[in-house]
Amino acid sequence: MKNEKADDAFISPEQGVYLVVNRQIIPLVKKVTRLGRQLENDVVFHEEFLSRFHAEIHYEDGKFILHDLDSTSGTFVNSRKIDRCVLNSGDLISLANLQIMFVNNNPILAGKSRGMTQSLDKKKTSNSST
Amino acid sequence: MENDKRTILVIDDDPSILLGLSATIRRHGYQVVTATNGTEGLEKAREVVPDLILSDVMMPPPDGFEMRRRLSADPVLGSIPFIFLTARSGVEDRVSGIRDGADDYIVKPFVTEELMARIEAVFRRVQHEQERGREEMRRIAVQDMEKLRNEILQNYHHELRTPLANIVMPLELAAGNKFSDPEEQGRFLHGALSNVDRLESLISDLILLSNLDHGNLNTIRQHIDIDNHILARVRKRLERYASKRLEFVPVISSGGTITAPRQEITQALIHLLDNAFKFSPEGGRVEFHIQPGLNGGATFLVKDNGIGIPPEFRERVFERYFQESSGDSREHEGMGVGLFIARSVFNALGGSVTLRDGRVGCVVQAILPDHSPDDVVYG
Repeated sequence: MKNEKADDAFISPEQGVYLVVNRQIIPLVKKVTRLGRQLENDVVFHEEFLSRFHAEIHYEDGKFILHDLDSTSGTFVNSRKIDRCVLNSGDLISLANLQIMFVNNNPILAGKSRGMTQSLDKKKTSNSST
Repeated sequence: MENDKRTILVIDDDPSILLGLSATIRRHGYQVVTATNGTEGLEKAREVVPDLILSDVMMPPPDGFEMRRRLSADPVLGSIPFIFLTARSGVEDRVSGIRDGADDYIVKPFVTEELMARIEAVFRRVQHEQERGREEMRRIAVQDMEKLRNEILQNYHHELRTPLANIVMPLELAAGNKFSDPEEQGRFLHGALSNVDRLESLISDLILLSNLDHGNLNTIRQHIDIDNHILARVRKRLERYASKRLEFVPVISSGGTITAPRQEITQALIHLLDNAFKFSPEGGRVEFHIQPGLNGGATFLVKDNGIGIPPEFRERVFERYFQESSGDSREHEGMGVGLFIARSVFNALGGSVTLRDGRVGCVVQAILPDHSPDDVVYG
């Protein structure tokens, strides 16, 4: 991460990237979207088994990467526990009892991270850890 | 798989379901075209001639079944197989909407694997039709449907596993000293405990259902302490709805001592109240009137100021496995057996459970008759 203030940067409001959870559609518009129980998160869930700051979705090089923030109950993508993971449209993120669908309907962005979802090796991306 | 050539038309008036479904189906290599209502669905069907239509049933007219009827008049579009998306209420209705061996339905909420399996099953059947004829396809469809019906009725597995997982996970974390934050540890353990309560209640239901099915429900009447046996349990159940900040108002008239089988009557009443809590709006008020009779009987009234129950559903809600749910969330989770159990227990004791008209919301009346003079009453 070159820019320390990149957290609040908007990508584009109409880019077609969403989280779908409990019949709600949440557009992803920030470079970093934080998920957790605490009100300071971008997306707040009142789920008892969630950590205060549970996970983050980073927009990097046209890819959306889910980071677990060392949460107590863990972060899962398509039922596999992950530390970091590139998200593909249709991936199902599980945080405790929450099921969150990642949807990327942006043809340009979706094309960049095509392929099967895979866990990233922690070493490869350690420079961007928070 | 020849998926990439196949196009699926997805129709649902809920944008979140439409978005989620489309992403899932695209992920599996199909082309997706979407529509947000029946009229648009018919237009898109004529325009793209999809290989399969996945449509919600409950939509503003034309609904899913009506679309199916209109399309079946068309020589080309009539043979497009349909998969209906439907809430889990009234299995018979769903089956009646299915006219052809190529059709199928899937019950919301569903998991991805189930959805994709059903889509592939329908494509398999269509292929069978080309290879071996329509009769063979129908035969397979009937088998599939029977299998699915059993799956729906055996929904317990999931309902039991979720609370169990929610008990095991916090305990494992605690046993492994994985908590660094005492607040979090407290919250997780409290969560485990409330799931113990959930599991306990589900097991009570399963035992009651099994006793009812075998005609050996316990009907031996015991003295009931309203505070300890009933209200304490109801208040515990109310904790599940803490975020709704409901006002719970017990109104107890003077009278004799109620006599009833403790476990059974408590579980029955909890279901009546749970239903009121569940369908009450945030900040709503639930009144629980208990009017004991002179010889062990009582009249119970549960009043809420929720959305009420439309007259056409007033009997159906007592059906086994009836469940009011239209979305894909598990917000109103459960087995859908609560009111069935409540009515069965009261009926077995010679009483009744009925829905009455309220000025607002819903009023449920449960009558426990007095015990007869020769009934044995245990302490």
